[in-house]
Amino acid sequence: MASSTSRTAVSPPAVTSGSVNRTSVRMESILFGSAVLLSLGLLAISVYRLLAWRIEFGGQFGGNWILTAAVAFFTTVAVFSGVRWSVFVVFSFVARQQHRSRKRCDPADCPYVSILVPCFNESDTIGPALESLLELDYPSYEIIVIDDGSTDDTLAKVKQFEGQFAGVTVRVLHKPNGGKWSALNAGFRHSSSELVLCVDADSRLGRDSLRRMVLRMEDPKVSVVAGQVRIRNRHNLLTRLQALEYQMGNGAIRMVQGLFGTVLVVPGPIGLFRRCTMEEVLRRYGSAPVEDCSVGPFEGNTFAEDFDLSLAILCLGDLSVYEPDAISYTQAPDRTFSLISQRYRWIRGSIQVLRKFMARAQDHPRSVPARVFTWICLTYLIDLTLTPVIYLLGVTFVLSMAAMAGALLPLSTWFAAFLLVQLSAAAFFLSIHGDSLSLLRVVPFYEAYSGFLLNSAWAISVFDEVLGRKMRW
Amino acid sequence: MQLSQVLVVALIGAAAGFGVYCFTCALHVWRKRNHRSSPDNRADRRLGRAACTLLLSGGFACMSVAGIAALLLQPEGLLNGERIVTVRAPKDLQVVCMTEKELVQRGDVLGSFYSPQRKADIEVSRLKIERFRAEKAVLEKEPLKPDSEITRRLMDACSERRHVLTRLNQTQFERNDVERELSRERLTRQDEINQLGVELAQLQRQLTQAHRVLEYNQKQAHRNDELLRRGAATEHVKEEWLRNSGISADEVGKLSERQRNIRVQREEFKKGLSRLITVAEAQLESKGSKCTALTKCLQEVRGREHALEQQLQLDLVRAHELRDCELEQIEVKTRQTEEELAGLEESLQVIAVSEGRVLFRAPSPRSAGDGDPLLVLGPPKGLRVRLRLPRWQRKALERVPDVRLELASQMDTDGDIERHFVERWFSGKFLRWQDLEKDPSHGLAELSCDPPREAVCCLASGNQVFVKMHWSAPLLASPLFATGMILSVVGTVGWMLMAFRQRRVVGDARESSDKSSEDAGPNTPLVTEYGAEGAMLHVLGGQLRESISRREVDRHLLAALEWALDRHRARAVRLVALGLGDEVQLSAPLREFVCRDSSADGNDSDGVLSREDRRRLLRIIQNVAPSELAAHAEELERELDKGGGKATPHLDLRSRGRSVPR
Repeated sequence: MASSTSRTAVSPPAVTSGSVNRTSVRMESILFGSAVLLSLGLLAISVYRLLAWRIEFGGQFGGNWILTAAVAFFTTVAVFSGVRWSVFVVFSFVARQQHRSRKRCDPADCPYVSILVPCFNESDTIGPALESLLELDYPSYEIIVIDDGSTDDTLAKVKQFEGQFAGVTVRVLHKPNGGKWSALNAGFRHSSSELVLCVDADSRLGRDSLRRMVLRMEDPKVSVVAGQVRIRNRHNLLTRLQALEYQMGNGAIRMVQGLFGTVLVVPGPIGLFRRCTMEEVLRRYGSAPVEDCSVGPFEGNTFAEDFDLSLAILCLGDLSVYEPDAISYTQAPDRTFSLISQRYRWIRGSIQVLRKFMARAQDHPRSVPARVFTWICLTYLIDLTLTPVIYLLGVTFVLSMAAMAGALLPLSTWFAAFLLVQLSAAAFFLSIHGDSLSLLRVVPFYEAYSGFLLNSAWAISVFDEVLGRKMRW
Repeated sequence: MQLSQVLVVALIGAAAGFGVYCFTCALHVWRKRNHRSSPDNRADRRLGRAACTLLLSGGFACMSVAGIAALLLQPEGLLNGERIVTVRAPKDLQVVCMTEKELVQRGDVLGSFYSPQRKADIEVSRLKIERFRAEKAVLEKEPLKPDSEITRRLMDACSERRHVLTRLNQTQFERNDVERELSRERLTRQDEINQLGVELAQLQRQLTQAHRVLEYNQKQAHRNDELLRRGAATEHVKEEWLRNSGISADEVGKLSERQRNIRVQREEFKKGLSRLITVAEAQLESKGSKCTALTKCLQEVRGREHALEQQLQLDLVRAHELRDCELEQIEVKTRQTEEELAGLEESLQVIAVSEGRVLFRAPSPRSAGDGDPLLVLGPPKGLRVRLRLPRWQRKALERVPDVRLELASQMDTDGDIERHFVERWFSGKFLRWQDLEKDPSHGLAELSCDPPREAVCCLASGNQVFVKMHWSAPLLASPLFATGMILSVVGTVGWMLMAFRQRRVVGDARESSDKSSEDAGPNTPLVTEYGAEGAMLHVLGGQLRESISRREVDRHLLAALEWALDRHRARAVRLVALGLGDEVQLSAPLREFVCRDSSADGNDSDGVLSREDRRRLLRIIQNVAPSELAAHAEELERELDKGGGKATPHLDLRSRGRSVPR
């Protein structure tokens, strides 16, 4: 496993810049964007064919209402997907173009940054993570490693890095285990800079990630910058699918949300915050006295503290943007169980955060900007409610049509067009994120992955959340 | 099974397998996250889970088998070519035209052909028919032809009868004339006689009257004599009377004379009458005998004539029959020729014998080979497809408006099978169902369909065409699927009931464990019950114990304890107290640590806790430790406060923790 990991792992690339590279990426983006639009056209044709088939031959099968409902469903899904991907592609392209036009950051203007690295039993990954942080192309910053009561030799390994380096200070804090949020709060309390970068202990940052994120902070309205999370261990199908998901799902949404300054979720592996904003969040929304040493901007009453904090900052009216060039190479679960467990935490955490957000919106209705509410409705409500239902209905209708032998033939065109749309969209987003196009090989499995695997995690998490079961990390 | 079906089954199977795998993994994660041990009914739960799993698995297996069977098993049937009419290309004939109608009524022309020889034969036949019809008309108008001898004899008899009859009539007329003359003479003479008699009587009365006038005149004359003698009368009157008496006497004589003459004349008439009667009677007798003879002759002639008439009648019947036979003979010849004409015309023209629908029409009929089908006429409601189906599919099939059918293969008369059809798909409609007596689980479904022209052409060529039905009954109608659904529902309900029961049991166990921990003190299973967090809290209690024992309490430890108490509440109180262990051994080190540190100034430096931190420690112990150690910590806190410390609001975490709802 180790050799496999090292062989297929994606190492953080050196900072490359140049007009040739940018031009080629732009050309690729245009090419793949056009491919997406073309595929959408094919999808429309397939829908037309499906409707024509229903009108011409549909009466030859039994269960007419099932076929009608199935055709209506696939038509709706095609329209929904077409609109969704069209919006994503167009706005992502615009966002990317805006991003290209920004000036590069001068290191002399870079403020001091505190990097918070919470860790708990991260003996295997903390060393390379700290090494990548020490190699950041940034003049002055501090790294605060918070050992959250690790029971292995994490603390000893971290202690080896403690000290002063050239422009970099590494500090190590040790506290009893209390969760990631408490570790981040502890680190936040011990940090001193105006900008706070939160990273995961198993993540490795790209060299110019910090500098590119700080550049986005030049806008005073921007309080949060989310970076691109990229899967590092791509040694099996599961991790490659997650890598594709991170680019097609999270990356695409954040790209569009960043265009409007409403990135709902600043990912835990890489997120840059303003201290003043975090303190404002603590003062306004904190559930414990500020003097309490265990409290901070991160709260432990949900399992998605990054999402919680992002929403709280957005509720303050500040902007949160997405910086696709700031890359955090993180490690993804390579086993099904661990992946489902991770998604279980994410989904339950998201539901908890949304419930908290709704309660907050009820208490302070004027404090919630409309754009935040709109994006929550457009993304999270769809993902948490509509998408699983769509998959369930899709499976039901496919099986129903399969039971009527011969009815799958016209549907195959639809599936082929839909796959083509996904392929072109994946190529587009991989291109604008600068990721490897080899991930296109796993696109045919993407719907099965998201439809079955992720929705099974959704099922158990929603089941437990509805029943109000207590949850462990 | 075709490759596409295999592919579909493989894809659906793979997707279903992956879905089941994902759901199983999710279930495993869920169970791992919600694992609760309850030794009381573990065996029952295992048994129940096994049963529910068995039911669910069986249900899913049944549904899968039903679904795969519905997907894979496509019933194959035979396309039936009953009631189809095929127009084939005849030898030595040229196609003129074929009908363009789709629906053909009985008697419509399906196709026309051309041949010069047959055209001439048709014309000859038509002329023959016309000739026969003319002959028939002539024959019908001709009189019957009886036997001439009989006719002649009958005519002789008739003339003889008429002759005799004439004679008889004449004789009778003469006799009647005689009788009439006799009667008239008799009447005339009798009238004359009677008239003479009347005249005689009248003469008699005149004579009588003349006698009386004479007597009267004589008396008057006599009386006048006397009167004259007596002188009373004159001579003249006497003479007058005497002249009157003389006249009367002359009158009487004249009347008497005339009376005698009339009597003589009367006698003469009577004699002439008797003579006339005698002569007339003689004549009458003669005429009567002659009439009798003639009547006898007439009767004889009439008898002979009647016999001849009967013979002639019989001969007329014979002649009529003979003419009928001749007419029939002509009619037969006519019909024969008409049939020949119809045969010739039919050989050039195909007529629909019944109504139907054109199912196949040769695209280029003039180039068709001998015997090739040019046009196929089928029943108006389409052809029939017969398939053997399970009986449970019957109701579903009846409700389906249309069923999709596919041409599978055709078998020619030599038994060779071909599978090539260009147009394969067509639709069928359920028509009727027939139960199979020797196969009760299946039945014979008959569908009406409108197959592609290629298949119709095959049927017209005498080949057998096999058809596949691409329709599956709704899975809900399948007994296997319904059984699977019932099993799945029962299994799912069982799982839900068990989960609900388990949740209730866990809640009860928690309450009981809370009570037991309060009553009986800490125990090791309590630590393991809460998993890794419980272990950490227990370790935290142990660290506190060791720190107090070593008189080296860290501020981080205090923060961790506060965080744990704040987060885990009653659970932290119980588990930290469990880790704290025996309270008696801690009293002395605690007092020593607090007092030693209290001797120092409140600033935290070199590992010495400040006064506030010591107060935090004592508050933690008051919340966590059993009663004696808690009381001891309270006492130490009061001492600490007396020593100049600033009191802070007391927070009873234990009570907070206990008030947390379970």
